[in-house]
Amino acid sequence: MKDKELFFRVFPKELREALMAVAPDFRKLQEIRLRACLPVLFTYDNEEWFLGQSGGQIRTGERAWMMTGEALKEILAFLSNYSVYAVEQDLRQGFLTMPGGHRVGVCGKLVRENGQPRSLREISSMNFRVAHSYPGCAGEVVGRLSLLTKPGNVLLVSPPGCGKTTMLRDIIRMLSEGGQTVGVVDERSEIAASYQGVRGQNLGPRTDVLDATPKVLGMQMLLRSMAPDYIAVDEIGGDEDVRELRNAMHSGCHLVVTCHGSDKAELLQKRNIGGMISDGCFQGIVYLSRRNGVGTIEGVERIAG
Amino acid sequence: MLGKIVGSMLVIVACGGGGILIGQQMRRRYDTLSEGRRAVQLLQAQIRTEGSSLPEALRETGEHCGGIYKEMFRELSSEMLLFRGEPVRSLWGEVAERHLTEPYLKEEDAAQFVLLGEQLGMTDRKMQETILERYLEYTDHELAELLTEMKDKTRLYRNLGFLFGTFVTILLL
Repeated sequence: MKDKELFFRVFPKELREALMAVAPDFRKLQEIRLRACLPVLFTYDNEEWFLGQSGGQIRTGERAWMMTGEALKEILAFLSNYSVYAVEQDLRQGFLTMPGGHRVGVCGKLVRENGQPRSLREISSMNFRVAHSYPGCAGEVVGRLSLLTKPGNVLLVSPPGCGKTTMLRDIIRMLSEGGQTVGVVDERSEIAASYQGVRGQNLGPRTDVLDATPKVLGMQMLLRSMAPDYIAVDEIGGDEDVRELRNAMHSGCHLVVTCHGSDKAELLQKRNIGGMISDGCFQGIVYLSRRNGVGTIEGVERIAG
Repeated sequence: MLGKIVGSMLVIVACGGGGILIGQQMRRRYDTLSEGRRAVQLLQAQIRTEGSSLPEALRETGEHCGGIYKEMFRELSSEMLLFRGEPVRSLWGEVAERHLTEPYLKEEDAAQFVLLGEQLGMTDRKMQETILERYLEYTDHELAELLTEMKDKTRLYRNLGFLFGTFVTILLL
């Protein structure tokens, strides 16, 4: 089944048909936002549109397709393969991953039990972020940082939705095809888009993926068992993440990691990652934005080390 | 005279047979509900211990149960995997309607099964357990009632059938 069909099959029939009609080129579809009792919004080819109530794309919310709570419930059932109970853990964290690595952010009412989150119910909104792979998009970064000839630690930085994960995925593929063994900790199944054990994205022939594994635990497992040249992790930030990254670095392993941020000044203000930058842990920092479309490379900072 | 005797015998046997048949209907309902209970218990185990998705659990359960549930669970599983975009409740309802058509089943039996499907897979693990338990409680209650009823009434229906046949024969003679 094609990626496009796999993606759209989670929508109720009528909505599915309407969305497929307004996104003829699936590669240009970036995001779909569904909110109960509010119009359906989607981003196609870097432009935001409302879905018309009788189909088509419109500029304003009047006469737009209104989402119902019932339809959101159905989508959740389709997303979870009719098994909401089986995705409880992901739901508690506020997201689900679809086959193909597309991430679905979910909001609703958090049910707590003994102070701990138990599940999410009364789903009120969903944000579908469509994952695309653009083989070769990391060519400039890999070339400018000479990663294939001079391995080093790389940090990819951008605000959300600017293509960090796509860039990370392509760097992994290029490193792997270039002869490096890469270990990937894919906490949210977004990088490799593994579904039922099968990798949905090309990450190269020398890449090992720990799927749905917490970052810290995953890095420890990879270091112990897979002897990687590189460890790749998406969206680092916590104290424990950084501690484990330093540990990996001191074990002779190189890193390719991403984090949220927009410039170096902002990064340096962050206690964890800022500390790593100040300590000269990274040999390259790549800044991304969506100024000229998702994945615009704003700058590649090469740090001598 | 021989014709009258044969005719009388046939009337008595037919009425007695009718009585036995009513008793048999109860037996068949009992067997079907027992099979349904077993199927739902298997489904519960699949979900609870294996953590399988609903289509997977239904397919697996279909392999191990019998009666009308075997085919129904298999069909439900394959229909779900087609992702036609229909709500779960209508899909479940349609399949159940096609399979739970036996005359010996009460309307409530089918209704309870449809109710189970409307909520199955749509809730968290804890609620899921409650929904399955509720269906099992319904079958337990019905089975217990049927068992008592069968003890009391099977013989009664059979005897009434024969008596009615004898009565008709006397009238005809």
